[in-house]
Amino acid sequence: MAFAGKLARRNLRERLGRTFFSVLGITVGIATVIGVFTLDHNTVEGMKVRVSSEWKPDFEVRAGEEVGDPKAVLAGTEGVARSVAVFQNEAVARVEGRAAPKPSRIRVFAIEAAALPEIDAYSLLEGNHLDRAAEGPQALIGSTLAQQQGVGVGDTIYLSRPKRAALKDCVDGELTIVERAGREAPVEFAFQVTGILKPERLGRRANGQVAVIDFGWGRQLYGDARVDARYWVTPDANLDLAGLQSRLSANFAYDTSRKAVVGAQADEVAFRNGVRLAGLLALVLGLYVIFHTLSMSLVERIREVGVLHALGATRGQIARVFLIEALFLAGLGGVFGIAGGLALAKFLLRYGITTLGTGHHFPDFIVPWKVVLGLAALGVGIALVGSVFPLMRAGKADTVEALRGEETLASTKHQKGFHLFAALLLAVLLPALYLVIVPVVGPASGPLVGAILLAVGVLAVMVVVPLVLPSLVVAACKRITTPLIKLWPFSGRMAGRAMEQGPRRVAVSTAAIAMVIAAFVGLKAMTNSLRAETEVWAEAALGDKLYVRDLPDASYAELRRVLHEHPQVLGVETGTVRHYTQFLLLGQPAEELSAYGPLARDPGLRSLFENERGMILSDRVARNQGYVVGDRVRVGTGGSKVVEFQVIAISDEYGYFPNPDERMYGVVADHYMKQFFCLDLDRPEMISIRTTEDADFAGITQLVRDHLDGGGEMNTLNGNTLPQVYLHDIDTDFMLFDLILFLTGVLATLGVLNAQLLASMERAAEIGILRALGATPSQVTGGVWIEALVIGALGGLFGLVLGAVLGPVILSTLENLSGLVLPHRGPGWWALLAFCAALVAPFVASLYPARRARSTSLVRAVRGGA
Amino acid sequence: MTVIARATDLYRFHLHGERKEAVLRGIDLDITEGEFVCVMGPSGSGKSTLLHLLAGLDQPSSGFVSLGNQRLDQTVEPARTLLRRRTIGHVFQFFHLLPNLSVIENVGLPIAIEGGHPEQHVDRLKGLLATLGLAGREDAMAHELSGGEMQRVSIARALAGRQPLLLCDEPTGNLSQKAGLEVMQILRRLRDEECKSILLVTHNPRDATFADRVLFLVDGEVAKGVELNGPDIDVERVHETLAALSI
Repeated sequence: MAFAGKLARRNLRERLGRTFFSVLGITVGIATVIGVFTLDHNTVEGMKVRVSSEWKPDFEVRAGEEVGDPKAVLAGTEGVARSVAVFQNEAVARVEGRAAPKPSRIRVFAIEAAALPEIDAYSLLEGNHLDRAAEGPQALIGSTLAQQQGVGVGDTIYLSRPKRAALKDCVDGELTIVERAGREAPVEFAFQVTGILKPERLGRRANGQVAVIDFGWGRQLYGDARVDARYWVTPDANLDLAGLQSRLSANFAYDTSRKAVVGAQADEVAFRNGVRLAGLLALVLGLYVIFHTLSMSLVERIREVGVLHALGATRGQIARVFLIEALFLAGLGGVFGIAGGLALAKFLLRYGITTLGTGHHFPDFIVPWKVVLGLAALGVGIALVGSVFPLMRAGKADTVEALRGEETLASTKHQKGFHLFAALLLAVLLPALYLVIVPVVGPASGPLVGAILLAVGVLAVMVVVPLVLPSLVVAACKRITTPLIKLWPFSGRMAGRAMEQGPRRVAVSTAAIAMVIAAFVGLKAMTNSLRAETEVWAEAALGDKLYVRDLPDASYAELRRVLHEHPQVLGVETGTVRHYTQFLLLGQPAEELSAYGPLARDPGLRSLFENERGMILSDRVARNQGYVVGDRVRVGTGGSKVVEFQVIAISDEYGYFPNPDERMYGVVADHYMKQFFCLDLDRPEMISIRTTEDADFAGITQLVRDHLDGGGEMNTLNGNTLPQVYLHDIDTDFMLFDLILFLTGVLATLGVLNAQLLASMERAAEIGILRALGATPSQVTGGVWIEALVIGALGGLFGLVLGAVLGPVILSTLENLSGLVLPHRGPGWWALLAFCAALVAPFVASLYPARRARSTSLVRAVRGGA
Repeated sequence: MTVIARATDLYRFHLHGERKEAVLRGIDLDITEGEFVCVMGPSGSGKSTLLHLLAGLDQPSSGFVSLGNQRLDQTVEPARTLLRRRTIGHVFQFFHLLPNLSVIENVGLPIAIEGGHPEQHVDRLKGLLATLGLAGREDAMAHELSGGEMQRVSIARALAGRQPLLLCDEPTGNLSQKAGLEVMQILRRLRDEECKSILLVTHNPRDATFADRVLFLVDGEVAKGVELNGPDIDVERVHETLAALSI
């Protein structure tokens, strides 16, 4: 072992350039994929913390009045893993004893005891969960309540509902008493305390003055009082958010915890999966490079293998030398890859770049060690497995031929076997294992699985074809080289000969460049299409609109009257009559919407809108939740009621406001907002003024200011200029992809550098002889550069063609996954930039190898045996 | 006398497409302890092939090779390699020094391959180098040496493992006259002073004069009845024999 270790160490040290670039290749590949996953993990966890200021269940639903057995209906709803009946109410808690403190007013949650341990709604500080088999009533109490009343586990606490207060509800726009206050003293029950809640989640409600009891005992406690029973729904593990929302809305009004849906919206799923696949591309490229380097390095050392065997080293001893080198390169690359990946993620988060857009900052940095170590092990493991085959081949090398210098890996019949083996590892095993460690986000729906398979399939073709059929690539290279020979006869011929001698080297380099270019071109086509979608949406939602914000206390009716005196004003929408249900609900007066949009195009809709609970949905919410015209939308109102609206149109022309920047909303007649939610209609803080084309915004603004005696701190926003802001957001959100592709470009460049370096070392003797015969150093380096340019040109062309095919495929997949309708756009001038980069990168990569070739010692090169 | 290496009725054929070419035909050869044997022949006569078969680097088409009492055809890898390691020191025509190791590291390679620690044998290795005129060059790298120096390092490496038999494949083929002469004198000294058994293949008549016995390979066969025996084989006799054999 000492002998093998010493030789391995010496080889790594003497070939420092190649050692460095090999380690760098593995490092960048592993760092990229670890960085991407860590970034995504921190993004989702950080967003969950941000939105969960107070704990809520993932889904809380209320049944419509006609649903007889809500639990049975929920059990039969696809996507519902579990539902638990629950209600909450006020109660009074006290203990007995001479020195007992004053009774506390608390919040009681009555939940089905059997489901309590599974729903993850609380943690216990001490004690046990409620025992559903217990004969008497039991309670879990909050830590503050326990302290105040001086009770612990095993003690008795008396709970009673308060004297029934008058119950008010929003009825026809007025807060009305629907139940009078009760006069009789409420019944009191003795509950045994089985556990104390930690001050988190449910245990934090009402500042810890909370009790959790069984649903059945709760019904007894509240006797004949009205109980607003709801159901907490746990969705299936692979949350198909849009599908579940659509199915629930048939019978229930629901409220979704923002935490449950962080990163689970369709477009977010598409973005996050895209980032994960880009990470896989980086890992494949990094290992593609290192496989080639490890296998090709044996070519130049095959004579060394022969000498060692002739001197009496066994095959096993020889294999150990190369294995130790491979272990060192892969191991060091893995360690640096972990460090680099975590540093990359931290750096991106510091600048607010996340997998859910830019501009988000989170205080904590979490390292998902299980996945990080898994990815590093995957990268290192595949690199080592890939090096086994050439090791075995080296072990079987014919010693006599090796000593004669006739044995090379390139000439053996086993080489094709090795490349097929490498292709299977990279194109099949690696993606499969990667997707186990880093699974796709969201449910494995048909479109998503199809997209993943397609992406992996394209990757497989790009990896397999050059490895198994390199002659095709070399034939194409020769075509490109032919005209260059006319310009530079000697250097061109040198380049042509070098490519003929190393077809797989050329094919691998070309494929690596083509992969990056194709991904880049496809991604830019997608970005351009997303920009186009935003432009189309903005024309409908923002065009010819003037937003006025921070209005002083002003009458909406008066503002409307004044503004309609201006001939260019078509309508005035209010931005503050809104309520959040399963999506944002906005109220608008029908008359303000009648001069443009669907109500203008179809006057018959106005009556439906105004008098028959018609709802106009935005395009985004209709697509995401599968609504079409004629569908019914159930909305939970204040109180326990559910009210139905009918979808009468789908349009983005009404209702959008930059604050909140929400593209998923529904618009109803404003009097329904008053009727069902008791909202004030007449004091808007912001309005949007729809005008004719090229309206005088300055004049309209002045009109408002004059009406409002200067307008105070009001400010305006021109809707026609807003699209540029959103387009800029798209560009910055996709910076993450640009960064990943840049790193994969670095990997491809490293691959070309390694390959060129090996080629120049392999051909040292030939180069030395040519120099001895009179070739100048410039002619020698010219040959290296021409080869690099040809590889870049072919890789670039191949990448552009593949990217042109990939672009529409990526777009169709994104449309399926996100529900967006995307105008199909090409990459535009980015394609030209990509081709230029494809030429420049190999050229840059060949600078060092060209320098090495140029400075080859003539004497050393032509000497044999040294 | 103890036979160190024996070839018995060795045949070696090479296939060139459909055609079967005989490289060696019916070779019988004994090398005894302390004997210096030279095999001469023109290029392509099978000299190197014979050396490779004796070293166990190649397998005969028929016949067998014995190293000591052990038949190579009755052993498998890695036993064959171990036998070669412990019996044979190799001197190659093209030196084959490992470029990433210094002179003393190259010389100590057989010790390292055996699992030993060359650092513990530094004095002996330095002594070997000094004997071969390489004192003070222990830390030089291969590319810093002249051809003659590299071949002497190769000889030192072949001696470091203390194997009883040296196989030398045209050791002066890439050296100047002076350097080649120095190498042959070293080999002769090893035979005389340390009783090394040596098998030398060469096409250089001068080299043959250092041997105890000279055999001639013609078309894969040992020419019968033309063996030259020493002492004092002179170069004219060698030339005459070569002329008689039309080589």
